[in-house]
Amino acid sequence: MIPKGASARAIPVDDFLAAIGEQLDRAQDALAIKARTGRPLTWALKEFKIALQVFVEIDAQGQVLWRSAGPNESGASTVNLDFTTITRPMIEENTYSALDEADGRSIDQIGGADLSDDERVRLRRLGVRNVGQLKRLAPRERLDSVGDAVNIPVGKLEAMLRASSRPTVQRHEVVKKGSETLLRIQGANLTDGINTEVRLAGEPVEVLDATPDSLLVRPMEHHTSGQIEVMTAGERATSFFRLPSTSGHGAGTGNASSGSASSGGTGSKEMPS
Amino acid sequence: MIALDELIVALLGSVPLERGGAADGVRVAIDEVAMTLPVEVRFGARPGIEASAPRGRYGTGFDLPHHLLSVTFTAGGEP
Repeated sequence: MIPKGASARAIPVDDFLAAIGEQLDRAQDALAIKARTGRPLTWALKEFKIALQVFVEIDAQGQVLWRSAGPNESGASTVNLDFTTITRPMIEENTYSALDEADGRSIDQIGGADLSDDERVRLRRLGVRNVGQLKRLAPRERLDSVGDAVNIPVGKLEAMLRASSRPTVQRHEVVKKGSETLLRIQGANLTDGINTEVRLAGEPVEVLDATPDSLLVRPMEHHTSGQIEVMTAGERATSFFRLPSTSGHGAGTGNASSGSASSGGTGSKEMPS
Repeated sequence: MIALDELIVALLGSVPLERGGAADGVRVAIDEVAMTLPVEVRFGARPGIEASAPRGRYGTGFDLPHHLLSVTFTAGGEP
Protein backbone atom coordinates (compact mmCIF):
# COMPACT_ATOMS: atom_id res chain seq x y z
CA MET A 1 0.00 0.00 0.00
CA ILE A 2 1.26 3.43 -0.91
CA PRO A 3 0.29 5.96 1.77
CA LYS A 4 -0.79 9.49 0.82
CA GLY A 5 0.12 11.37 -2.33
CA ALA A 6 -2.01 9.58 -4.90
CA SER A 7 -0.80 9.29 -8.49
CA ALA A 8 -2.73 10.83 -11.36
CA ARG A 9 -3.98 7.53 -12.82
CA ALA A 10 -5.33 6.17 -9.55
CA ILE A 11 -9.10 6.26 -9.08
CA PRO A 12 -11.30 5.99 -5.99
CA VAL A 13 -12.55 2.48 -5.26
CA ASP A 14 -16.16 3.67 -4.98
CA ASP A 15 -16.04 5.27 -8.43
CA PHE A 16 -14.31 2.24 -9.86
CA LEU A 17 -16.88 -0.24 -8.55
CA ALA A 18 -19.77 1.98 -9.64
CA ALA A 19 -18.29 2.21 -13.13
CA ILE A 20 -17.86 -1.59 -13.37
CA GLY A 21 -21.45 -1.99 -12.20
CA GLU A 22 -22.56 0.27 -15.04
CA GLN A 23 -20.49 -1.68 -17.53
CA LEU A 24 -22.03 -4.96 -16.38
CA ASP A 25 -25.48 -3.41 -16.76
CA ARG A 26 -24.57 -2.33 -20.28
CA ALA A 27 -23.28 -5.82 -21.06
CA GLN A 28 -26.54 -7.29 -19.79
CA ASP A 29 -28.55 -4.84 -21.92
CA ALA A 30 -26.48 -5.74 -24.96
CA LEU A 31 -27.07 -9.46 -24.35
CA ALA A 32 -30.81 -8.81 -24.15
CA ILE A 33 -30.72 -6.90 -27.44
CA LYS A 34 -28.82 -9.76 -29.04
CA ALA A 35 -31.63 -12.10 -28.09
CA ARG A 36 -34.08 -9.94 -30.00
CA THR A 37 -31.97 -10.11 -33.15
CA GLY A 38 -32.69 -13.73 -33.87
CA ARG A 39 -30.97 -15.72 -31.15
CA PRO A 40 -33.16 -18.59 -29.99
CA LEU A 41 -32.51 -18.00 -26.29
CA THR A 42 -31.95 -15.04 -24.02
CA TRP A 43 -28.56 -14.94 -22.36
CA ALA A 44 -27.73 -13.40 -19.06
CA LEU A 45 -24.56 -12.68 -17.19
CA LYS A 46 -24.66 -15.04 -14.24
CA GLU A 47 -21.28 -14.49 -12.65
CA PHE A 48 -18.41 -12.17 -13.21
CA LYS A 49 -15.05 -12.37 -11.48
CA ILE A 50 -11.92 -10.47 -12.15
CA ALA A 51 -8.54 -10.64 -10.44
CA LEU A 52 -6.89 -7.28 -10.92
CA GLN A 53 -3.25 -6.42 -10.42
CA VAL A 54 -3.40 -3.04 -8.73
CA PHE A 55 -1.51 -0.73 -6.48
CA VAL A 56 -3.54 0.53 -3.57
CA GLU A 57 -3.02 4.15 -2.67
CA ILE A 58 -4.52 6.58 -0.19
CA ASP A 59 -4.94 10.24 -1.03
CA ALA A 60 -4.74 13.20 1.32
CA GLN A 61 -8.47 12.97 2.12
CA GLY A 62 -8.12 9.35 3.21
CA GLN A 63 -9.82 7.97 0.10
CA VAL A 64 -8.61 4.53 -1.00
CA LEU A 65 -7.56 4.54 -4.65
CA TRP A 66 -6.60 1.81 -7.08
CA ARG A 67 -4.10 2.09 -9.88
CA SER A 68 -3.67 -0.56 -12.51
CA ALA A 69 -0.21 -2.12 -12.48
CA GLY A 70 1.90 -0.95 -15.39
CA PRO A 71 4.48 -2.80 -17.51
CA ASN A 72 7.32 -4.35 -15.51
CA GLU A 73 5.96 -3.04 -12.21
CA SER A 74 6.40 -5.60 -9.48
CA GLY A 75 4.74 -5.84 -6.10
CA ALA A 76 1.17 -5.22 -7.24
CA SER A 77 -1.66 -6.47 -5.07
CA THR A 78 -4.22 -8.88 -6.46
CA VAL A 79 -7.76 -7.68 -5.91
CA ASN A 80 -10.43 -10.30 -6.53
CA LEU A 81 -13.78 -8.86 -7.46
CA ASP A 82 -16.69 -11.24 -7.61
CA PHE A 83 -20.01 -10.03 -8.96
CA THR A 84 -22.96 -12.34 -8.92
CA THR A 85 -26.61 -12.07 -9.72
CA ILE A 86 -28.67 -10.81 -6.85
CA THR A 87 -32.39 -10.39 -6.77
CA ARG A 88 -34.38 -7.28 -5.94
CA PRO A 89 -35.60 -8.72 -2.58
CA MET A 90 -31.96 -9.37 -1.61
CA ILE A 91 -31.09 -5.77 -2.44
CA GLU A 92 -34.01 -4.44 -0.45
CA GLU A 93 -33.17 -6.67 2.50
CA ASN A 94 -29.51 -5.74 2.69
CA THR A 95 -29.27 -2.17 1.49
CA TYR A 96 -29.37 0.76 3.82
CA SER A 97 -31.69 3.43 2.48
CA ALA A 98 -31.01 7.03 3.44
CA LEU A 99 -34.64 7.68 2.51
CA ASP A 100 -35.74 5.60 5.51
CA GLU A 101 -33.58 7.63 7.87
CA ALA A 102 -35.48 9.85 10.30
CA ASP A 103 -32.92 12.61 9.85
CA GLY A 104 -31.04 12.11 6.58
CA ARG A 105 -29.09 15.38 6.65
CA SER A 106 -25.45 14.87 5.83
CA ILE A 107 -23.07 15.39 8.74
CA ASP A 108 -21.35 17.94 6.49
CA GLN A 109 -24.43 20.14 6.78
CA ILE A 110 -24.22 20.32 10.56
CA GLY A 111 -22.29 23.30 11.78
CA GLY A 112 -21.24 24.05 15.33
CA ALA A 113 -18.94 21.09 15.86
CA ASP A 114 -16.01 22.40 13.86
CA LEU A 115 -14.89 18.91 12.83
CA SER A 116 -11.79 18.72 10.67
CA ASP A 117 -11.88 16.91 7.33
CA ASP A 118 -9.91 14.08 8.92
CA GLU A 119 -12.44 13.71 11.71
CA ARG A 120 -15.33 13.64 9.23
CA VAL A 121 -13.54 10.91 7.27
CA ARG A 122 -13.09 8.89 10.49
CA LEU A 123 -16.81 9.20 11.23
CA ARG A 124 -17.67 8.09 7.68
CA ARG A 125 -15.45 5.05 8.10
CA LEU A 126 -17.58 4.13 11.09
CA GLY A 127 -20.59 4.32 8.79
CA VAL A 128 -21.80 7.69 10.00
CA ARG A 129 -22.85 9.77 7.01
CA ASN A 130 -25.98 11.48 8.25
CA VAL A 131 -27.43 12.87 11.42
CA GLY A 132 -29.76 9.91 12.01
CA GLN A 133 -26.79 7.53 11.99
CA LEU A 134 -24.84 9.81 14.31
CA LYS A 135 -27.68 9.90 16.83
CA ARG A 136 -28.01 6.10 16.77
CA LEU A 137 -24.27 5.49 17.09
CA ALA A 138 -23.58 8.11 19.70
CA PRO A 139 -26.38 8.68 22.18
CA ARG A 140 -25.11 11.03 24.88
CA GLU A 141 -24.37 8.22 27.35
CA ARG A 142 -22.05 6.49 24.83
CA LEU A 143 -20.20 9.55 23.57
CA ASP A 144 -17.02 8.78 25.52
CA SER A 145 -16.51 5.35 23.99
CA VAL A 146 -17.39 6.54 20.48
CA GLY A 147 -15.07 9.52 20.83
CA ASP A 148 -12.24 7.19 21.86
CA ALA A 149 -12.95 4.83 18.98
CA VAL A 150 -12.72 7.53 16.31
CA ASN A 151 -10.23 9.74 18.14
CA ILE A 152 -12.54 12.76 18.17
CA PRO A 153 -12.86 14.87 21.33
CA VAL A 154 -16.15 14.17 23.11
CA GLY A 155 -16.84 17.92 23.26
CA LYS A 156 -16.93 18.07 19.46
CA LEU A 157 -19.37 15.17 19.25
CA GLU A 158 -21.55 16.81 21.90
CA ALA A 159 -21.49 20.08 19.97
CA MET A 160 -22.44 18.21 16.81
CA LEU A 161 -25.36 16.46 18.52
CA ARG A 162 -26.53 19.78 19.99
CA ALA A 163 -26.27 21.49 16.61
CA SER A 164 -28.11 18.64 14.91
CA SER A 165 -30.98 18.94 17.41
CA ARG A 166 -31.67 22.58 16.64
CA PRO A 167 -34.56 23.41 14.28
CA THR A 168 -33.47 24.05 10.71
CA VAL A 169 -35.46 25.28 7.72
CA GLN A 170 -34.08 23.80 4.52
CA ARG A 171 -36.68 24.69 1.90
CA HIS A 172 -40.30 25.55 1.40
CA GLU A 173 -42.93 24.95 -1.23
CA VAL A 174 -46.27 26.41 -2.12
CA VAL A 175 -49.12 23.92 -1.70
CA LYS A 176 -52.49 24.54 -3.30
CA LYS A 177 -55.47 23.10 -1.47
CA GLY A 178 -58.66 23.95 -3.29
CA SER A 179 -58.73 27.72 -3.52
CA GLU A 180 -56.20 28.18 -0.73
CA THR A 181 -52.49 28.65 -1.09
CA LEU A 182 -50.58 27.11 1.79
CA LEU A 183 -46.91 26.96 2.54
CA ARG A 184 -45.06 23.79 3.42
CA ILE A 185 -41.83 24.41 5.32
CA GLN A 186 -39.36 21.53 5.28
CA GLY A 187 -36.35 21.01 7.47
CA ALA A 188 -35.40 19.22 10.67
CA ASN A 189 -36.54 19.43 14.31
CA LEU A 190 -39.33 21.78 13.32
CA THR A 191 -41.57 20.73 16.20
CA ASP A 192 -41.09 19.28 19.65
CA GLY A 193 -44.55 17.77 19.45
CA ILE A 194 -45.92 20.26 21.97
CA ASN A 195 -45.70 23.77 20.65
CA THR A 196 -44.54 25.23 17.35
CA GLU A 197 -44.93 28.87 16.43
CA VAL A 198 -44.41 30.09 12.89
CA ARG A 199 -44.16 33.69 11.76
CA LEU A 200 -44.19 34.87 8.19
CA ALA A 201 -42.82 38.36 7.65
CA GLY A 202 -42.99 38.90 11.39
CA GLU A 203 -46.65 37.86 11.82
CA PRO A 204 -47.81 34.65 13.51
CA VAL A 205 -49.63 32.30 11.13
CA GLU A 206 -51.77 29.23 11.66
CA VAL A 207 -49.92 25.91 11.74
CA LEU A 208 -52.15 23.31 10.13
CA ASP A 209 -49.86 20.32 10.42
CA ALA A 210 -46.56 19.81 12.21
CA THR A 211 -44.05 16.99 12.03
CA PRO A 212 -40.34 17.19 12.85
CA ASP A 213 -39.40 17.51 9.18
CA SER A 214 -42.36 19.44 7.80
CA LEU A 215 -44.80 22.21 8.75
CA LEU A 216 -47.88 23.19 6.81
CA VAL A 217 -48.93 26.79 7.49
CA ARG A 218 -51.60 29.13 6.20
CA PRO A 219 -50.12 32.47 5.05
CA MET A 220 -52.23 35.59 5.40
CA GLU A 221 -53.76 37.20 2.36
CA HIS A 222 -51.21 39.98 2.14
CA HIS A 223 -48.16 37.76 2.52
CA THR A 224 -46.03 37.69 -0.58
CA SER A 225 -42.47 37.38 0.67
CA GLY A 226 -40.42 37.85 3.78
CA GLN A 227 -38.78 35.97 6.58
CA ILE A 228 -39.91 32.58 7.85
CA GLU A 229 -39.37 32.12 11.57
CA VAL A 230 -39.98 28.79 13.28
CA MET A 231 -39.88 28.76 17.08
CA THR A 232 -39.96 25.47 18.93
CA ALA A 233 -38.44 24.06 22.12
CA GLY A 234 -36.93 27.44 22.91
CA GLU A 235 -34.99 27.53 19.63
CA ARG A 236 -35.54 29.56 16.48
CA ALA A 237 -34.86 28.79 12.81
CA THR A 238 -35.19 31.26 9.98
CA SER A 239 -35.33 31.36 6.22
CA PHE A 240 -37.09 33.38 3.54
CA PHE A 241 -40.26 32.69 1.60
CA ARG A 242 -41.90 33.98 -1.53
CA LEU A 243 -45.47 33.30 -2.57
CA PRO A 244 -47.16 33.78 -5.94
CA SER A 245 -47.50 37.51 -6.42
CA THR A 246 -51.16 37.52 -7.44
CA SER A 247 -53.62 38.39 -4.66
CA GLY A 248 -55.96 35.94 -2.99
CA HIS A 249 -53.79 33.15 -1.59
CA GLY A 250 -55.37 33.54 1.85
CA ALA A 251 -58.01 31.35 3.33
CA GLY A 252 -61.26 31.21 1.52
CA THR A 253 -60.19 33.31 -1.41
CA GLY A 254 -59.73 32.01 -4.90
CA ASN A 255 -57.73 33.04 -7.90
CA ALA A 256 -54.38 31.79 -6.65
CA SER A 257 -51.85 31.47 -9.40
CA SER A 258 -49.89 28.31 -9.82
CA GLY A 259 -46.19 27.98 -9.31
CA SER A 260 -43.77 30.20 -7.52
CA ALA A 261 -41.30 32.76 -8.69
CA SER A 262 -38.99 32.13 -5.80
CA SER A 263 -35.42 31.13 -6.18
CA GLY A 264 -33.99 27.69 -5.29
CA GLY A 265 -35.66 25.73 -2.56
CA THR A 266 -39.21 26.62 -3.52
CA GLY A 267 -41.69 24.50 -5.40
CA SER A 268 -45.41 24.25 -5.90
CA LYS A 269 -47.77 21.32 -5.75
CA GLU A 270 -51.45 20.50 -5.63
CA MET A 271 -52.95 18.96 -2.52
CA PRO A 272 -56.23 17.08 -2.36
CA SER A 273 -58.96 19.25 -0.89
CA MET B 1 -8.43 -2.21 -25.73
CA ILE B 2 -12.20 -2.11 -25.69
CA ALA B 3 -14.71 -1.36 -22.97
CA LEU B 4 -15.28 -4.26 -20.59
CA ASP B 5 -18.96 -4.55 -21.51
CA GLU B 6 -18.05 -4.89 -25.19
CA LEU B 7 -15.49 -7.56 -24.34
CA ILE B 8 -18.06 -9.52 -22.33
CA VAL B 9 -20.54 -9.49 -25.19
CA ALA B 10 -17.79 -10.42 -27.67
CA LEU B 11 -16.78 -13.38 -25.50
CA LEU B 12 -20.27 -14.84 -25.66
CA GLY B 13 -20.35 -14.13 -29.36
CA SER B 14 -17.18 -16.19 -29.83
CA VAL B 15 -18.88 -19.41 -28.75
CA PRO B 16 -21.17 -21.40 -31.06
CA LEU B 17 -24.25 -21.64 -28.88
CA GLU B 18 -26.06 -24.24 -30.95
CA ARG B 19 -25.36 -26.60 -33.78
CA GLY B 20 -27.30 -29.12 -35.81
CA GLY B 21 -30.99 -29.32 -36.59
CA ALA B 22 -33.57 -31.46 -38.30
CA ALA B 23 -31.33 -32.09 -41.29
CA ASP B 24 -28.59 -33.46 -39.06
CA GLY B 25 -30.94 -35.54 -36.99
CA VAL B 26 -29.68 -33.95 -33.83
CA ARG B 27 -29.48 -30.48 -32.40
CA VAL B 28 -27.14 -29.45 -29.61
CA ALA B 29 -27.66 -26.26 -27.64
CA ILE B 30 -25.58 -24.80 -24.85
CA ASP B 31 -27.32 -23.48 -21.79
CA GLU B 32 -24.36 -22.23 -19.81
CA VAL B 33 -20.97 -20.86 -20.80
CA ALA B 34 -18.15 -20.31 -18.32
CA MET B 35 -14.83 -18.84 -19.39
CA THR B 36 -11.66 -17.92 -17.58
CA LEU B 37 -9.00 -16.08 -19.47
CA PRO B 38 -6.07 -13.76 -18.89
CA VAL B 39 -6.71 -10.21 -19.99
CA GLU B 40 -4.87 -6.96 -20.27
CA VAL B 41 -6.66 -4.25 -18.39
CA ARG B 42 -6.44 -0.50 -18.31
CA PHE B 43 -8.40 1.82 -16.10
CA GLY B 44 -8.26 5.45 -15.18
CA ALA B 45 -8.51 6.79 -18.73
CA ARG B 46 -12.31 6.76 -18.75
CA PRO B 47 -14.95 5.38 -16.35
CA GLY B 48 -14.79 1.63 -15.87
CA ILE B 49 -12.36 -0.85 -17.32
CA GLU B 50 -10.92 -1.23 -20.77
CA ALA B 51 -9.73 -4.73 -21.51
CA SER B 52 -8.54 -7.05 -24.22
CA ALA B 53 -7.13 -10.50 -24.63
CA PRO B 54 -3.37 -10.41 -24.01
CA ARG B 55 -1.64 -8.79 -26.95
CA GLY B 56 1.86 -9.54 -25.75
CA ARG B 57 5.06 -7.61 -26.07
CA TYR B 58 5.03 -7.83 -29.87
CA GLY B 59 1.62 -6.14 -29.94
CA THR B 60 2.26 -3.40 -27.45
CA GLY B 61 5.99 -3.10 -27.01
CA PHE B 62 5.54 -3.68 -23.30
CA ASP B 63 5.13 -6.57 -20.93
CA LEU B 64 1.74 -5.62 -19.52
CA PRO B 65 0.68 -7.60 -16.45
CA HIS B 66 -2.12 -10.08 -17.01
CA HIS B 67 -5.29 -9.96 -14.97
CA LEU B 68 -7.68 -12.89 -14.79
CA LEU B 69 -11.27 -12.65 -15.96
CA SER B 70 -13.91 -15.30 -15.23
CA VAL B 71 -17.36 -14.92 -16.63
CA THR B 72 -20.38 -17.22 -16.65
CA PHE B 73 -23.34 -16.76 -18.97
CA THR B 74 -26.59 -18.59 -18.62
CA ALA B 75 -29.39 -19.11 -21.09
CA GLY B 76 -32.62 -17.77 -19.72
CA GLY B 77 -35.30 -19.13 -22.06
CA GLU B 78 -37.17 -17.80 -25.05
CA PRO B 79 -36.47 -14.16 -25.86
